[in-house]
Amino acid sequence: MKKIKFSQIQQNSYLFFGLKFIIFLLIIVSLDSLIGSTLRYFYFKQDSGAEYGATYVMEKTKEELLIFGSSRALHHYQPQVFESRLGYTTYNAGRNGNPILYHLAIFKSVLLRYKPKQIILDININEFQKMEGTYDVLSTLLPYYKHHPEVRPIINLRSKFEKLKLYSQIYPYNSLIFTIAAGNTEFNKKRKEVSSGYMPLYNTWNKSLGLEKKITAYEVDKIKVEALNNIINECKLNNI
Amino acid sequence: MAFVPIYILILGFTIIIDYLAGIFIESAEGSKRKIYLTVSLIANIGVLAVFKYFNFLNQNYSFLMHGFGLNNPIPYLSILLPVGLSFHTFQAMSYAIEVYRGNQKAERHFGIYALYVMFYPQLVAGPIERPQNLLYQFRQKYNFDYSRIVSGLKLMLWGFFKKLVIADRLAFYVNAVFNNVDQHGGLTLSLATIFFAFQIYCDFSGYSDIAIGVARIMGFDLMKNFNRPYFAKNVAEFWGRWHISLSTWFKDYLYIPLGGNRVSVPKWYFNLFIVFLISGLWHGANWTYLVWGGLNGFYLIFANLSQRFRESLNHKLGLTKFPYLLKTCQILSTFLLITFAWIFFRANTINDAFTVIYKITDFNGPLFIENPSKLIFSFFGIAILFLIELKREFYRGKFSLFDNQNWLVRNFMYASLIIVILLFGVFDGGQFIYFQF
Repeated sequence: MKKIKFSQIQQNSYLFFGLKFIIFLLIIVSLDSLIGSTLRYFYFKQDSGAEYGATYVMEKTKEELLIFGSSRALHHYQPQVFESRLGYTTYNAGRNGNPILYHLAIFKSVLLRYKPKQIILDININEFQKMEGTYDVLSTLLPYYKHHPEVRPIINLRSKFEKLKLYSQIYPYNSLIFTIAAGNTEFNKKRKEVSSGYMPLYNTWNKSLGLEKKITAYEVDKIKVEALNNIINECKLNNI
Repeated sequence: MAFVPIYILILGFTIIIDYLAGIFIESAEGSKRKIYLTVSLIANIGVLAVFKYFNFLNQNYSFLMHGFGLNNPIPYLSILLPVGLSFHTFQAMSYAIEVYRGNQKAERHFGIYALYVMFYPQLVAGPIERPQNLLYQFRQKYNFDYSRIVSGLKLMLWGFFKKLVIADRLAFYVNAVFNNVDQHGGLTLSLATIFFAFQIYCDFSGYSDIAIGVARIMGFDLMKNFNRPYFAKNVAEFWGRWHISLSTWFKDYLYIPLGGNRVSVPKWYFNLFIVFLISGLWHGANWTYLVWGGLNGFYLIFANLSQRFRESLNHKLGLTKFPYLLKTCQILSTFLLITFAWIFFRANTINDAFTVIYKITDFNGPLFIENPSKLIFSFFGIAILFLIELKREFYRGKFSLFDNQNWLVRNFMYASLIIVILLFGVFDGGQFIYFQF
């Protein structure tokens, strides 16, 4: 077989471009894989913070009562109160700024492991509003795409290119580098104040509560309504 | 942004009008040439007037009528502004003018002319090309060119970095603050204004880099649109470095025909002011853009009026003995002036703009930090941009990493840029800001 010299490759611009492009891709894939794996390792090694909370609910909870919802759930439902009144072990799985679809994904993961006796889902009047960029916050689920197939259909709602983006090992941890660092260090002591998922808020609100008297009509996001139906059906099926 | 297929007809209308106008102008003689040009310009400006300025003018007319206790009988138009309308309209107008001036032959091939207006990399946000630079390129044949492709890809990557890592990241903070100016203090508003200066630069120049890069890969050369504008030493130089294709458009087709600087000094200042006022209006039908344009015009006039005073002040302060220090002061003062003007560009209303200015003067109130990570990412992105542009501006040929002689070092740097995009980029960001113009 005739050997091809490097100078011959250089003369053929297609070959030259192809060869360099492959080497360039190899550099990117290696860096992506190395950094992505490192981030993944430290992401799941966190022992505080919202990301740790999500991992804990998806992979470790055994509590009989789980509380789902966004900030109102996270900051208002104290598990100890439910434990003393209902006699159920309780965990607050609430997460700031996350819509019902996030809670459906987490709930589906939980159901693959065990069936809690009861769940509480805190939703507000605007939960089902159709809004631009509403699925963007589902990026919080990206780190679980690889090992939790049950959450994939929900993650894929983000965009039609999500599968493609997830070929990158770094992408699931995009913009999380400082959060991961904080979750692996004692840097932010406030993160440790969480008790059974519940995160107290100590600020004082001096203004009027501004309770909404009027309900304004809005365009409904059918996918979000479907998510609520899905949660209800799962509860019925599993006798929760 | 909405997709309305019927709006393609607007583009089709201007293409047909200018295609025919070009042929008629070339074939005609004497005053008829001017008539055909006028028809073409009226058609183009008419489209802009209807879709971009009608409701704005009508709104102001209503305001005026209400002042006299009368009602405005003219109804508002329920229409959307077609994406990139100002860009392709100006590009089409440049064709008709150049044919009229005899600098460009009329294009007889309808497809090639349509391509000139609709060339997709620069259709929606420029650079606004000239027919002499672009049309002939559509007739050339292209072969696979390794260096062109690599250079185009590098430019695109740099554009994506600017857009995803810097512009869209800064947008979180800027939008949160500028959409609620009443809720924020001077310190926060100052930071948001500085952030916006970088956001608008990275958003728009990022798009230009991507457009020029895509075109280069295919074999076409588009004009440079940005040249590190924040290193300009005065406002005039800034406008020679910022949105170059629009600045030169206004210079060639408005400023010089008005007489440029070859007229009496008051007329010259008037010319400058009117060009910037129209440039402001080009950006959008809102008083904020008009004030922004007028303010930039004022800067240029004031710079001219105060030139001797400033030179003498520099001399008295001894700054002339330290050229680097003088240069730094000039760059910083230009940046601050331009950034101040951006307040009007970004503010949602003219009232908001004045609220921001009022609050910035007392520099009071706590710094709004929604998420410390996001703020760190913002500063990190600006720092990288600053270092790279500083190197390209002042240390060309030194500390070469992205242009290193060693192929592996060079590629490692570009691979790192991709990694930085993956790590810190915003992938759910919005549209490019200039798409709305």
